[in-house]
Amino acid sequence: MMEDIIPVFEQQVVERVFYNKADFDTLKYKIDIRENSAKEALEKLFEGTDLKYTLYKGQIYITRETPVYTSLPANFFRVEESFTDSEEELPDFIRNQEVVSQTVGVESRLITIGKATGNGLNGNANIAGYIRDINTGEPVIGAVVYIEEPRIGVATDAFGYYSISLPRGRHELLINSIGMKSTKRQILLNNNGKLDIELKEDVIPLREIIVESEKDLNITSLNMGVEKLDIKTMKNVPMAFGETDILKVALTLPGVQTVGESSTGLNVRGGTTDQNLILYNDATIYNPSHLFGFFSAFNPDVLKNVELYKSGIPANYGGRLSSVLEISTKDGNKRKFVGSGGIGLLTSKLALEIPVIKDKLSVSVSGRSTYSDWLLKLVPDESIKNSQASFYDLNAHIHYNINEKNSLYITGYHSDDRFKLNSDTLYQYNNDALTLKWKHVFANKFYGVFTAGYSGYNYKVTSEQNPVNAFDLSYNLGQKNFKLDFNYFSGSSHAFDFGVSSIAYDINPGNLYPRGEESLIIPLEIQSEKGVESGVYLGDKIEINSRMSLYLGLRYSMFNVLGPRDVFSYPAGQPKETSNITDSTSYSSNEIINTYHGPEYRASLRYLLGNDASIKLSYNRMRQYIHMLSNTTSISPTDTWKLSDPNIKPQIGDQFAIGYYKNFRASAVETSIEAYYKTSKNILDYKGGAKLILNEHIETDVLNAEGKAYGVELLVKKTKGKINGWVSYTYSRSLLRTNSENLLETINNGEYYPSNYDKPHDFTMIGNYKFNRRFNIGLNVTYSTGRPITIPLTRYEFNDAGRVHYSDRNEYRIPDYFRMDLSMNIEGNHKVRKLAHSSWTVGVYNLTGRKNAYSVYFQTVDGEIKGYKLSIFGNPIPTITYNFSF
Amino acid sequence: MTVYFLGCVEPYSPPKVDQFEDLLVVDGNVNGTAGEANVYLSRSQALNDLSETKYVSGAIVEIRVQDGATYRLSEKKSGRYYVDGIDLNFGDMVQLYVSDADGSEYLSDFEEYIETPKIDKVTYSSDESNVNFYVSTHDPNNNTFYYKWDYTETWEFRSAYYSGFYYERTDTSVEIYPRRRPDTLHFCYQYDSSTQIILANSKHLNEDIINQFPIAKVGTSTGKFADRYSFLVKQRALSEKTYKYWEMLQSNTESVGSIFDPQPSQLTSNIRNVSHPEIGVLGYFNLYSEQQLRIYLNYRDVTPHFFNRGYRSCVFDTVLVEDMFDELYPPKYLIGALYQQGSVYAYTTSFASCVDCRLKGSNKVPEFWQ
Repeated sequence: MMEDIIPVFEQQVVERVFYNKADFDTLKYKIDIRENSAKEALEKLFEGTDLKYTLYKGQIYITRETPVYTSLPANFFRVEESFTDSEEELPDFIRNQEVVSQTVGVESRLITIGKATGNGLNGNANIAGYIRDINTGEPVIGAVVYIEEPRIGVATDAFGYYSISLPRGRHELLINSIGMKSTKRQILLNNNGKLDIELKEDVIPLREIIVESEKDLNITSLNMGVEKLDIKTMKNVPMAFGETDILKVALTLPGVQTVGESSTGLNVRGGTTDQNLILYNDATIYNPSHLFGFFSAFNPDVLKNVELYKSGIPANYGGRLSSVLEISTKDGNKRKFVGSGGIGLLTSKLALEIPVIKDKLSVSVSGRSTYSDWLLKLVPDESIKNSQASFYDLNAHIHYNINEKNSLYITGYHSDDRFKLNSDTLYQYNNDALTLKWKHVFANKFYGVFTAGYSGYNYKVTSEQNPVNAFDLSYNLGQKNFKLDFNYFSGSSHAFDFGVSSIAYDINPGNLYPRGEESLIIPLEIQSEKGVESGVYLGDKIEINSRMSLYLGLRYSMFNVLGPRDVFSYPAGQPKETSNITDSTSYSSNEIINTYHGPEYRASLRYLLGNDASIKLSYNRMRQYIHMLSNTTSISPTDTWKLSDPNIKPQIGDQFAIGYYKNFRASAVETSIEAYYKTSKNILDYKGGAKLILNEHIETDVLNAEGKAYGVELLVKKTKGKINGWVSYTYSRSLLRTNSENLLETINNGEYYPSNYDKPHDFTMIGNYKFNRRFNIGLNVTYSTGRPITIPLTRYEFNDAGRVHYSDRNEYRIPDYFRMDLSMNIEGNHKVRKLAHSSWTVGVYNLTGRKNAYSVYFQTVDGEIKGYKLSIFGNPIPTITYNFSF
Repeated sequence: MTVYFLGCVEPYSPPKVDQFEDLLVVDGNVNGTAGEANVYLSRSQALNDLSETKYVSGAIVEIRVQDGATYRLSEKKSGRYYVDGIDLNFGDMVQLYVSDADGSEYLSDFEEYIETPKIDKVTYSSDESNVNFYVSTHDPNNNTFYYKWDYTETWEFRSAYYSGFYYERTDTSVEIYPRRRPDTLHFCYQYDSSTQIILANSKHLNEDIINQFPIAKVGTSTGKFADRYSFLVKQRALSEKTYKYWEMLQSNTESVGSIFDPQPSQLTSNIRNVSHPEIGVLGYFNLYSEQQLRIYLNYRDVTPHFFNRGYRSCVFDTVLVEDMFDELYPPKYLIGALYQQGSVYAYTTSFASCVDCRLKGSNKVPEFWQ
C-alpha cells in the first residue's frame, strides 16, 4: 500500500511526500527503491496510472492527472490577493490545488526583513508579528515559530503574537500548530522587523507526513500540568445533552475530578471547587453552571480554546490555589460574515461574526437559550412537574485592530438562570462580565496589555406563596479589576513578563426583605464586605542552553480588608462561638481593617532529553483571599463567596510537581507522566448544622482545616491520524485535617480524613475515529473510585421512629463510577457554494445504562430507616443536535 | 433546598459493618398538659441489625423539678417507664435522672416548662390527588417563635356490604337474627399518626405568627376521605436549643436524598452520662405543654376523587332459605333478605373480607367522634 511506501521514500530519498490518500486506496505497488533513483522509482511506480509526480526542493508532490507546477503563473501573487475576482483566468489545477500552490509560493519566496545595514550580518535581530488563520483572521494561539540551526523557537501568546530573536542572515522559519497546516518562510534577516504569517486550517485531505522532527510544544515548553483543548477537540467528545460543555470536557483530563454528575464544580488535583480561577476572556466567572450544573455557562459556538493550568502556574496569575481555567473566545471573522448555530433537545443557540471593517474590526454576538420545561413535565414526580427551569446566556465580543501597534478587545457576557420548584420558591442567579483589553506594541520585543473589567454574580430567592412569609433574599458579589501586563523579549535567552493588578471586591452577603404588604418578614441586611486584592509580579523565562530552560517568577500579593464593618473578636485559643464573642470593633468606610500579604513563588525547569523527550520540574505557591461557603457536596446555586477578614485567614497552597514527557512516531503520540505533592492551609470546613446564609458571624460556623494532596497522572495522547484521542490514568489522594486544640472544633478527632472528592483511581479514555471527512465516531470511557461519604453505622429508636447516628466523616465510599458514551458527527456535503453547512450530532450518554450512584443515604420513612442509592442518570440518554454554519 | 431531578432512586443495603456505637438511647417525654411522663430506655444497635429494639430494664428513672417535687417512674413494660399526676407550672425547671442497672448515672439539662400558644386554626385545601392541611397559630406575647407539630388521623370507612343479619348454627339448623348498628360490621374506624418531624419558626418575622404552615399532605387514593375524616393537630412550643436539635435530626434523617444535601452532622443531646462523661448519649429529654385542635372532613368537602379501599373485587351471592344449612358452610356473612309475597325466600351473602370492616379497623366509635 502507498502508506507503507511513503515513509520509505521519506526516510531514504526526500524530506516530505505530499499526496492525497484517496488517490491510492485501490492501488497496490511493489518496488525496490534502493536500486533506483527517486525519479526512476516514481516513473516505474506510476506507470500506466494517471498519477503524476513532481520533485521539488527535496519534496515530492503526487497528484492525479495534473502535476503540480513548480513555477507559478506570472500573475499568481496578484491573483492571490484578489482571488475571487479573476477566478476564470486561473488554470483549473490552481483552483483545485489552492493550498499546494499557495504554500509552495509563499514558502519558497525569500522575504527580506529590515533594511540591510553596512555592518554585515553580525549579531541578532528580532522578528515579531501575528500568526493568523487565513480564513477568519483569528489569531492562532500556541503556534510554534522556530528555526532548526541553531535551534531557536518561541510559541505565540494569547494574541497569536510571537517575538523571536535570531542571528542576522538567511533562515528557514518553520511554523507548526495543532489543527493547522504547517508552513515555513524563507527569510533574510537584516534588522528588526515584522512578519505576519497566515496558516491554513488542516482539513484538505492532503496528508502530510513530516520527516524532520518538530519542536513539539509539549516537550519543549516550560509549561507542565497545562492542558490545552481547542473547540474542535471538545466538539468530538460525547456529552449528556448533545451540547459541547467545556467544563465536562475538562473533567476528562487527568487530575480533574468532580463529586457527581450534576456538578460542574471542578476539583483540580485534590483542591476544592472554589480554588479554580475561571477566566472568560480575562473576566472572573463565579458560577460557571446552568440548570443545577447540567450545563456549563459557556456557549460552545463562540469558544476558541480552553487552557487549564494545574501546576507551574505563571506569575501573572494569582488569587486561587488549585488551577487557572482560561477560556478564550473567537475574535471574530474579519473577512466575511459568518454564523453558526445549533438546535438540540434542550437548548438552541446562534452565533454571528460580523466583519465591520475588513481585516480590522469584527463584532461577534451570540446567544443560547433553553426550553427544558417540557423535560420536567415528563418526570413522574408531582413536585417536579410543577417546576420550571430556564436559562440563557449572551456574549458580545469586539476585536479592533486599530493599527499595527494597537488592538482593542471588548467582551461582554451575561448569563441568567431561574428555576421554580414546585411552583413555590423562585431561584434566580446571574453572572455578568465586561472586560476591555488594549494591547499596545511598544517595539518588536516589548508590548503591554491593559485590562479593565467588571465581574458580578448575584442570586435572588423569592417566595410569595404564603403572604405572611413572602420574602426576597438576595446576594450580590461585584469585582472591579484592572491590570497591566508587559512582555519583554530580550535577546534569545530571556523573556520577561511583569505587571501589576488590583481587584476591588464588594459583597452583599445577604439581604432579606419582606415581599408584599402582608409579609411580616423582618428586614435583615448582613453587613457588606469590601476588600482590595493587589498583586505585582515579575517572571523571566531563561534559555540556559539548548537543552535547559528555566522560568523564575515572583508574585507579591496583598489583601486589604476594608470597612465599613463591625468585626467581632474572640479570645485567642478559645473556640469561635457566639458565646465567646468578647468585643465588637466598628470600622468606618474604606478604613483598613487588616491586611494580609505575602510572596508567591513560581518556578519551572525543563531539561530536554533528545528531540522527543524532556523532564520538567515546577513549584508554585498561591494565595487565595476569597472563599466559597458551601456545606453541600456539590456546588449549589445558593453557595456564597466570602472575603478573608480578621477571623477568616487567606488560603495558602504549595505545589511541587515533576514530569517526564516523551513523544513517539514523529510526535503523533504524546505521552507524559506527572507527579505532584500539594499542601494547603486555612481551608474552610463546616461545623455540624452550619448556617451559611444570613449569618452575621460566619466564623462561628466554620472550621479551619489544612489539606494534603498527592498523585501521579499518566497520559497517552494521539493527536493525528484517523484514530485520535487520549487515555489517562490518575492515582491521587486528597486529605483534610482540622487543626484546633478544641475537640468541638475538629472533625474525626483532628485526624486526616478523605475530602469529599478523594477518588484514588481515575481512568478516562476519549477516542475519536474519523471514517472520512463527513463522518466520525467518538467514544468516552470513564471509571473512577466512588467518592467518600459518611455512612451511619448505628441505629436507634426515638419518638416512635428509627433514627440513624452518624460517626466519622467520609469513612466509606459510594459504589465505583463507570460510564461509556458514544457520539457520531455527520457532516453535510462540502460543496463550497451552498447556503449553509450543516451537521448532525447523534449520541448516547451512559451507553450501558449503569445506574451510577450519585449518593447513598439513609432516610426515616414512616418510622423506618431505609437505605437508598440516588443516581442522576439511570438510563442511556439519547441525544440529537442539529448544527449549522453559514 | 431539595432538587430531585431526572434521577432514579433504588434501595441500598448498608455495607456489612459490625462496628457501631453501643450507646444508651433516652427517649424522654414529659407532657405537662397531661401531667404524664413517658421515658423509653434502649440501646443503639448496628445499622444492619434489624432485630427488635433492645430495651433497657431495671433502671431508676426520675423527673426532678428544681426546688420542687421528684417523680419516680415505674416500668410498665420492658424499658418503658411511666408516671402520671405530674404537676408543673410554667417557668418550672425540670430535669431527667436515669440510673441504669450497671449504676451509670445520666442527667439531662434543666429544661424550662414553657407555655404553648393556642392553635388558631387548622385549614385544608384539596385537589384530585391530595388533601393538604395547614396550621396557623400565634403568640400574643411574641415570645415563642419555635413550634413543633404532630397529628393524628382518624377516619370512618365502610365495608362493601352492610350485614343486616347474622345466624347461629346448630347441628341441624340455622337460626337467623337481625343486626343493629354498630354490630353491622359496616362502619369502622382507622387511625394513623405523623411519623415525620414537623417544625416551623417565626424568628424572621416581626410578629410571632405562623400562618398556614403546611403540616400534612394526605393522598386521596388512600380512601381516607371516602366517608368522614378527622384530623387532630397537636402543637408544642420549643426552646431554641430543642428546636435546633429537632431540626438537625430532621436534616440528618429525613431531608436527605437531594442533589444538594448538606453534610450530616452529629447531634448534641441535652442528656449526658455523668458517670462516664466521655461516653455519649443518644436521644433527648423533651418537656412540653400541648395544644390540640381537631377538624372533620366529609367526602363532599374534598375534591371528587377516585379511591380504592380494597373492596373492588367484592361480589355477593344469593342463598335460598331452604339451602341455608348446606350453603353457609364454610361460613359466609348475610347481607340482606329477599322477599317474595311478604316472606323471605333468600339471603344475599358475601365473604368476611367484603363485609367485616373489623378486618381493617375497629368498629368501636371513638370517644371524641362527632
